[in-house]
Amino acid sequence: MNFTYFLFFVCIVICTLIITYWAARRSQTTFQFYTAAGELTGIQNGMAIAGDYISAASFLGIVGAIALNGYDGFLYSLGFLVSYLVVLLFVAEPIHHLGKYSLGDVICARFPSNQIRWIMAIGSFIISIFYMIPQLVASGLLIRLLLDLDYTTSVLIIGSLMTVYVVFGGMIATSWVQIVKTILLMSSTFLLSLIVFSYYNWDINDLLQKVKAGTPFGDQFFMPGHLLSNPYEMISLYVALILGTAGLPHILIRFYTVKNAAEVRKSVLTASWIIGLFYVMTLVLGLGTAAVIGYDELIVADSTGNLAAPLLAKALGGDFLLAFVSAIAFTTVVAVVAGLVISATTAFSHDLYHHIFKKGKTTEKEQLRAAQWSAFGIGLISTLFALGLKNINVTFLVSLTFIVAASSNLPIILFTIYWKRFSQTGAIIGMVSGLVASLSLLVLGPHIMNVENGWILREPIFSLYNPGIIAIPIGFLGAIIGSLLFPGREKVDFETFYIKAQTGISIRRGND
Amino acid sequence: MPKTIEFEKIEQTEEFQHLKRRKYRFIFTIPVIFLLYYLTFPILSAYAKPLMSSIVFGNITFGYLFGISYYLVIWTLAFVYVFKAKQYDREVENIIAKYGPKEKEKGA
Repeated sequence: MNFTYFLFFVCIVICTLIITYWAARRSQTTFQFYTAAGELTGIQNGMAIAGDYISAASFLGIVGAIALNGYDGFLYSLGFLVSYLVVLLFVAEPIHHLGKYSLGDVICARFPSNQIRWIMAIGSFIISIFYMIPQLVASGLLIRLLLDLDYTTSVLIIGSLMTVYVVFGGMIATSWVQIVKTILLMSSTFLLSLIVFSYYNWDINDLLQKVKAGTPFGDQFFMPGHLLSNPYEMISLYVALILGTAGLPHILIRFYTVKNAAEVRKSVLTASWIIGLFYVMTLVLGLGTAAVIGYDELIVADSTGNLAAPLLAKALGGDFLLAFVSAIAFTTVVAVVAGLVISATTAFSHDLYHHIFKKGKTTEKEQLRAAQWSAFGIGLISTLFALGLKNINVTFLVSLTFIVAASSNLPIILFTIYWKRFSQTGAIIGMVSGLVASLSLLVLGPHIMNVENGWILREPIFSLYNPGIIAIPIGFLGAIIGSLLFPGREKVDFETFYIKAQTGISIRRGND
Repeated sequence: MPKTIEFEKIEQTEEFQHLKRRKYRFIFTIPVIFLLYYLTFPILSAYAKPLMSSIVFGNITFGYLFGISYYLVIWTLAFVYVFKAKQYDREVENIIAKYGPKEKEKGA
C-alpha cells in the first residue's frame, strides 16, 4: 500500500472514530441509542438515508453496468429513484407516527401480540443480515483490489469498524458516518464527472462518439437489451426495486430520527434529490469509462465491471485521484454496513429481548446494555460469516432482500396502515407466504440451480433470476386471503389506530 | 397522558372525514397513474426497441429522453405532495387542538 492510499485511509478511520467518540457521550439512553433522540433535521436525515441506501455495489456496480451494457445499466439506476415516491406517499409519515424504535412497533400498534413481534423481528433481522453479508464479502474483495490488503484483513477492518460505531455511538454515530459518506461520495462523483466533461472539452457529442468507439456494441450501446433480454426479468426487477425500498427496515427506522411529519417529508425529499443526482452522475461516469477506458480493457481488469470508476479515476487523475476514490468506496461500505447493524440490533434487542423475552419489564440501563451486546454479537457473527464465504458468490442475496422486503414486509405495512379489514392472522399468513415464496423461488431459480456454476448443478426449475413478479403478488394475496378467512375481532380499534397513523396525535417520544 | 383522547369522536368529526377524503384522493390516484407510466418504460424497452432507439437529436435516443423524463416527473410529484401535505398538517393541527389531549406538549 503506497503512502497516498495509507493517508486517505487513516484520515477516514480517524475522522469516523472521532464522530463515534463524540456520539458515545450522547448515547446514554435507549431513545438516543436507537433514534438519535429524534434530533436530526430533515436534511441531515435525508443525507443519512442516502448514505444508508447508496451501497458500494451501486457506486461501483452501476458505473460498471453502464460502461459495459449502456442503456440497461441506466434503467437499473432509475428504479432506485422511483422507489422513494412510494416511501414518501405511503409509508414514511405513518411509520414515524406509529412506531418508537422498530418496525415491529408499527404493526404492534395495531395488533399488539408477541406473534406479530416475532415475525416482524425475524423479517427485519433476515433482511438486514442478508443485505449485510454480501456487502461485507464484496467489500472485502474490493478493498483487497483497491488497497492491496488481503481479504481477511479487509473484512476484519470493516467488520470491527462497523461494530465499534454502533456499539459505542448507536444511531448518532451511524447517522453522522452516513452523512459524512454522502458528502464525500457526492463531491467526488461530481468532481469526476466534471473531469470527464473537461477531458472532452465539454463537447458531449465528442464524448458520445468516443463511447461508441470504445464499446463493441457501437450504435447499439444506446439501445436496450444488453443486460436483460427477457422482458419478464426486466419488469420483475423493477417491481422489486420500487416496492422493496418501502419495506427495508434499515431505511424505515430512519424516520424515527426526526421530530415531526414535516421533517420526515423533508428527509425523503432530500434523499431522493441526492440519490437522483447521484445516479445522473453515475451515468456520466459510466459513459466516461466506456469512452476513456473502453470495453476491452475494463473487462480484462474485472469481468463484473466493478473497477470501472477506479480505473476511470486513475486514467483521469493518476494515483492521487484513484486513492481518493478508493477511500470513498471504503467509506461507502462502512456507512452502509453500520446502518444494517443498527437495524438488526433494534430488531433483536428491542423487539425480541425487551418485549418478548423480558415482557417489556427491563430498566433503561438493561435495555441499553442489551442493545450494545446485540450490536457486538451481530457485528461479530456477520464478520465471521463474511470470512467464511470468501469464495462463494453471494451478491444475489442483495436483490433477494429487496424481494423479501417487497413481498413480506411491504404488504403487512401497507395493509396495517390502510386496510380496515386486515387481521392479525392475515398479517402472519402474508408475512410467511411472502418469505417462503421468495426464498423457495430463489432456491429453485437459476441463482442456485445452474448447470454451469450453481450451488446445485442442474437445470433451474424456475427460470427467472428475479422472482419478484411472482413472489410479491403471493405475499399480498396471502395477507388478503388470510384476513378474509380469519377476520379480526378488533374492527373498532382501526379507527383509533387510523387516527394515530394519520395525525400522530398520540406520540410522546422519549417518555414512555 | 393520551388516555383522554376520544378517538371515536374524532373519527366522526367533519374535519377528520374531510382530511381523510382529500388525502386518500391524492395518495391513491397519483401513484397509480405514475406506476402505469413507470411500467411503460421496461415494456417499451422490451417490445418497442425501434421506438426507444430512434434518434431524437445528435446521439440522444428517445429511450434516454424518456428515462430522464422520470426525474422530472418524480421530483414534481414529490414537491406537489409536500406542498399538499403542509395543508394536511394544518388540518391535523386543528383537529388535535380541538379534540386532542389537553396537556399536549409542544413538538410531539
